Amino acid sequence: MEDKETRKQIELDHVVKVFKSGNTTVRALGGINLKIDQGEFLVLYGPSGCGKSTLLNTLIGIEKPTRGEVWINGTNLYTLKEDDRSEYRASKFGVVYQSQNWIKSLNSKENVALPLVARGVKFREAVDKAEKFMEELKISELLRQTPTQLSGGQQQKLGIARALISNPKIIFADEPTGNLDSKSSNIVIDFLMKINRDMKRTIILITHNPEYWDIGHRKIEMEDGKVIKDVKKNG
Amino acid sequence: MDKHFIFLFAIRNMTFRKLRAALTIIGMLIGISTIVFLVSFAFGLEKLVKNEISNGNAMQLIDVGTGNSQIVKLNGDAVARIKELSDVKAIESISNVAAMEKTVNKDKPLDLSFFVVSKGYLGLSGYSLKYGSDQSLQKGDGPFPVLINEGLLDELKIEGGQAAIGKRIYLDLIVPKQITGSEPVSLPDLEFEVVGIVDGNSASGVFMHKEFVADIPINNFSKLKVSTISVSNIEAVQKQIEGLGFKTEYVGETVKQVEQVFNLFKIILAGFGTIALVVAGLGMLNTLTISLLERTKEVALLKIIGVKSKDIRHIFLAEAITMGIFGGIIGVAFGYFLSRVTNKVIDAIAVNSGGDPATLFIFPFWFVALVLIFAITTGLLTGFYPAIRASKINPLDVIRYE
Repeated sequence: MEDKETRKQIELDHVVKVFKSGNTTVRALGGINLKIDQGEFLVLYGPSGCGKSTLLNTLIGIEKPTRGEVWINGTNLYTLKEDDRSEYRASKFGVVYQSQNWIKSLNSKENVALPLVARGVKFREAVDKAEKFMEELKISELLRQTPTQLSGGQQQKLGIARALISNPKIIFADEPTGNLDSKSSNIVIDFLMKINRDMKRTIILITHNPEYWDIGHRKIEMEDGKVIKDVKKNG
Repeated sequence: MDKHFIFLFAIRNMTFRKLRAALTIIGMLIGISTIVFLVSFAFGLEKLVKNEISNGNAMQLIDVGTGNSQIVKLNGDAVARIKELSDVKAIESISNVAAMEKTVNKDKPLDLSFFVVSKGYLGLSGYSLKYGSDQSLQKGDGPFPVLINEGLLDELKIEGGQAAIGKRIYLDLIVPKQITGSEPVSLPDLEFEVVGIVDGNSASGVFMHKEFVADIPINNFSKLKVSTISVSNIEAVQKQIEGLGFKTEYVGETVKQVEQVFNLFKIILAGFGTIALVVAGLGMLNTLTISLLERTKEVALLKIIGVKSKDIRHIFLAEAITMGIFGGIIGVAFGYFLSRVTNKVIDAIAVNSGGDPATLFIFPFWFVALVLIFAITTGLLTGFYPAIRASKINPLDVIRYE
């Protein structure tokens, strides 16, 4: 066992996830070992059902592995209680999905402010911060609109803003361009790359689109719940 | 999580689905306003009845009599013994004498009640002087001065009001043996002068002060009224008087019985309102459950963002409590409005029929507070199930389903 101090930002030790459905057993993750450095831009790809999303859900603490350990910043994630994991998630992670879910009764900036509110920041203060943050990200035109009125690309941008507002060290993006046309997709990917480059955030991007497999520092291909290719770019 | 946000979020969710929230709150409103209307009516009726029974300082008075006893006498000696008891403030007496009036209608003599009373008796009994003066009750050389009850004016064919003062009436008195202490005494054709008119709550009669009856043999009293220094020790005084062999009556006992009856009445009426409120509560439970089913994705999102299960529970409970508060406040206001309107309508009908207006609805502060607490509690209770269900939503189920 490695010392807590010497661990990478993200480490998976022999992570296995087995789903049982009636008499059928599905091995979604088959013993994943993975170490990810801080500031890395990692692209994860593979065919549908290969375990990418299960891996992501395991990493963000909502899918408890059947076996193995998930270490984030030296914390063994699944030794924490559920509410503590929620708190940990609110402070350390930002998550962007293919289609964004919104709280319909709140406007854009209030939705962006939610992760801060979840961490215990006063609502007014969180909304003020969200407003400033959206201005920094140059998406202040979305401020007063209801998220469901926005286009797919705008919603993804807003979703990324929500993922970033609490200044998380790690951003997980699960097919963030899945519902977008190529122009909007490029804008979103550029946005993520900029965040990685300028804000030194670790990014784990899951994508089907081969155009984006080589944009990061590292690409991992999965198949049948296993890592079959792990390529680091030089430099 | 910021409590301000939790309640703001609850209100936003309610206003986001306005019609549904309005219908749910109307359900609560009906339940709460029914309770307020019915129970405040019971409070109003109770007060009317209690006032009727215990006007003035009746709660500090004990009526003392002999019951059917032939041995115990209510005489000067009895008054002296009761006076010695601690906490007794004053003792006033009344003696009932039979009277007959023959001059107004010679064919049909009029039987009257004639009361010989001690000076403070009428005041203690809740009579008040409407016309004339008590000061006129000074025995001069003329006829005996008397006060008469307003209801007697018509029977004696005397014009009402100030005009009645100074009128003469002629009565035959028969003092029964219970009052003379020996044989009955008949005193025909005595002349009396009306010096005052009293209104009162008992049967019509003629009142004369005991001081003027030297020539009428009054040795025993029909009844004594004993006033005590305070209400708190009245029952102790009552027991002591009973210890002396007398029968007592205390209006507080009747009031207590009235209270018991009305408490039961209030519970029954509140029960009707509660049924309405339970139906409203079920409606609210339905609304919140449907709202939860519609917002499963929102709950999953909140969990993924990092909102704790405890805070998710609080969000749903806050919605239920907010609906309870709105339903409670609007329900109390509507119930109050409805009872005021009803009171006005009944007053108008009463006045048209020659009656007096009355306060039929009473809203004690504690009752209004209790109803509001009841409404909020109903909200809270109906919120528990959806809140717990929401906090147990597994975000993965939602993600996988998508």
